[in-house]
Amino acid sequence: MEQHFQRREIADGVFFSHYIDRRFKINRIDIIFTDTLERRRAGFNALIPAVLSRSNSRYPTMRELNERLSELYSASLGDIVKKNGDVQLYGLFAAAIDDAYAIDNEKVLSELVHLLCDCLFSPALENGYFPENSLDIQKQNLIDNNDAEINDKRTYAARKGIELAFENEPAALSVYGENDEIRKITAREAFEYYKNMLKTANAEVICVGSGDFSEAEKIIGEAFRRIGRKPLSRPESRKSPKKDEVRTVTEKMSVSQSKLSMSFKSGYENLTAMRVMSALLGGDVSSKLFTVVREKLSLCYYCYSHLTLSKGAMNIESGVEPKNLKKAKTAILEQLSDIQNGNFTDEDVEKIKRSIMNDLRSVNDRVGNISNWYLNRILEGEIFAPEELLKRIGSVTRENIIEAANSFTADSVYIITSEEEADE
Amino acid sequence: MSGEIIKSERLKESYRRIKHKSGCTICLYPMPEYSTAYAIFGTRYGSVDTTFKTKNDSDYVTVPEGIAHYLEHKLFENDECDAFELYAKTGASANAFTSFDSTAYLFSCSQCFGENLRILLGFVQDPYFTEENIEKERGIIAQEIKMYLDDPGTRVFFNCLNAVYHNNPVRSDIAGTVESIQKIDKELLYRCYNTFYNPNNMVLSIAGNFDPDEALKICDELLKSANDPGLDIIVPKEPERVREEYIVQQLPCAVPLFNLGFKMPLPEKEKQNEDYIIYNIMLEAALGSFSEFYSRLYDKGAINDTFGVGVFSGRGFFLPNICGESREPQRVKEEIINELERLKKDGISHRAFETVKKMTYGELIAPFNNVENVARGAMQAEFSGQNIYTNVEITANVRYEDVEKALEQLDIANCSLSVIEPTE
Repeated sequence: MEQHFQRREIADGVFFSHYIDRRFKINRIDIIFTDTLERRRAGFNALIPAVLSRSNSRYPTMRELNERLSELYSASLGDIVKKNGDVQLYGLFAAAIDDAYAIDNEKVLSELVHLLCDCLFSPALENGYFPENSLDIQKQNLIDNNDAEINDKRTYAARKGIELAFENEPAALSVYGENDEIRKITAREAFEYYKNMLKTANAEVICVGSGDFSEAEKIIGEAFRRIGRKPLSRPESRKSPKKDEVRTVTEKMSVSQSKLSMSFKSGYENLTAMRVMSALLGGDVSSKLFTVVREKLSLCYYCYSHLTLSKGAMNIESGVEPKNLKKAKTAILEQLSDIQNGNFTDEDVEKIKRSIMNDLRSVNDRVGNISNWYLNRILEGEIFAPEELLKRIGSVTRENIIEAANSFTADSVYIITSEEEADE
Repeated sequence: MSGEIIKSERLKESYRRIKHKSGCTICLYPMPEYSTAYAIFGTRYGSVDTTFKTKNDSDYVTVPEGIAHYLEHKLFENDECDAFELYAKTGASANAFTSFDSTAYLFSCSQCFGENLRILLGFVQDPYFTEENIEKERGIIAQEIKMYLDDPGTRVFFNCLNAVYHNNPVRSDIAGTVESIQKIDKELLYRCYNTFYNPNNMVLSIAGNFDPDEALKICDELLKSANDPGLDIIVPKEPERVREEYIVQQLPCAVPLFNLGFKMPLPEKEKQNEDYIIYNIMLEAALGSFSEFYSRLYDKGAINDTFGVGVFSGRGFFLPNICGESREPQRVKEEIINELERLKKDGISHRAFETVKKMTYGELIAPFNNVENVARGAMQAEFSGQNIYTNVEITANVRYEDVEKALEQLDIANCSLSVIEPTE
């Protein structure tokens, strides 16, 4: 499958990749910028794509642009803001059905590329800046997004757990920026920042689909080269230091189900072994957290672990009845120490490996997954196909898993629970 | 191989539909160029099926809310181990879900397809309920129910259903309530199982990378035959008007959430699918993302990107509804009402209609990219008496007059507004 994915530099610090696969009925283009998360810049980085994705000089209002996208068979064009460890990823994406399926034989992909480039390089302006009103709306949207995190208690708890684990590190910051910083941004500052971003931010353009992306490469490359690029150094994540002692924070909220988010840190280098270990502990329904803590002990409705590899961190999230908080925590720690002590069978390991491999083999079946996969590999500094990880997973030994488990120590615990149970 | 071939000229694709001797309907949709196979085994049985009898029963029975979902949880277990454990041996990723009008069990795999299909057909046809294992599940399900009680997005929707409907069982949460599930016992579970998990009431749909001959051979071997149960489900009579015009609840959230539902008579069974598409197009053209209405409210900050229109449609229910976040939900409701009234007089623009038609068409084509969507789509289509391509064709043939008529028939005054306000 490697022959599919190709990446080359098309302007200073701008890389263009494509993955062509005739199975797909759609084409997707992502233009992603990277930056180290920083309190003030995070807000700008989130705000600018939000503003850019809603209009451009050819379609100067959101309504006109939306109408054009709908005419292109519900093409989507939107902003992306996410993080990977300490790195903030932000930019635009566009996707639409391939020309082969257009009822009226339109050149959908070509128009999509032009729309996307116009949004990024030729925005709608008012008195030389982004229109005040659309800027204000997007600022409010970001603030609402931040505030809305509380709506989904599961995500909210996981986010607070991360915030506590990575205290004072870039990774603790909100990808949407902090509300007080967002409020301060003026139209002039936003526009200056945008111009500087085009000039200095590192960028990855990733195209996936069945179409011919040579036009995309040409016009995106030309647009970047015209700017006179002076790219900054590429942002990287740093391993998170361990806290001297385990910190526990309890937040009181009127909830029916309590949330428990536990963080662990490790300096272990064998990342593939860490993946297998975390999967064995709490990766899916055959993991220890699911089969023991949920199914056997009925302590949690959900209970799973996930890794932030670039930070050397693992988090365990669970939804627990308030009265069972203590029991759940003990049971979760027992599962980890079981792995640390080698209390698992070779068959357990084989099962988990098979399950990870099953997931890996399906990465290539979805357009969005392919983009994500390669973007993450690019960020990690080593580009390889899912098949390569398959091989690496296969060679992880029982000893590697035990070592990986022992490398983790408890770092922090975040609890959300109702008033009356808060004294856990 | 038996059965009929269902073809789409437009998509240049086809699949096989077989009425199996067991009574079960089988859809086989090979997509050999993909790595994964996805199989889903479902029954026309969901949370709304609470009062029923078969031709062998002397009288109707009314079962506690949440029993279809409870049954789904319990079927995963047989006398030796649970289905997740069996799948763990092959590495497949498995799941199940219960909706308002169906229950389904599924797996996705990139290897051992035959073995996985055997597991799926095996446990779904082999119920094993004991007082003890039923009791154990009660705690987990209660946790699940409580988790959704904390979720403003779920609550705003169900509150709306409760305000719209007096008797329709769609009012109840799919998982039931903590109280209702206390009444579920072994006898009731077996009764529901024997009634609804009859092959004549079930569909097996498989898409992706698999061998259709192998699949059919396994079906011949494992699908148990049964006579048509002569199922009779009572849909309670529903008054024409909404139960309440306004319903409000406080929960921890950032911006208030709203859902506005327009009550209308259920379309005839054969027409419901078509009406679903027509009403969607109508609402999208009238209030959707490129309407004059949308940009006016968006630019004032009265609505944000979460605003959406749609039709909640299934067996026994049909509810056009509009949802989103707003600091002034009452005002948004008034604006919606005024706009719909204006459009009833002035008409929806022809251009908007044509654009939404293309947009809807594009939205229906894109899922054919994906093995999971195809398998699910073929099952769902079968449940509503269609094939997977029907909606694409309906959309391509919708006329402006259809949409005009839909708007005319919408009883604007007969609506319920549900609001979730942030707790202090």
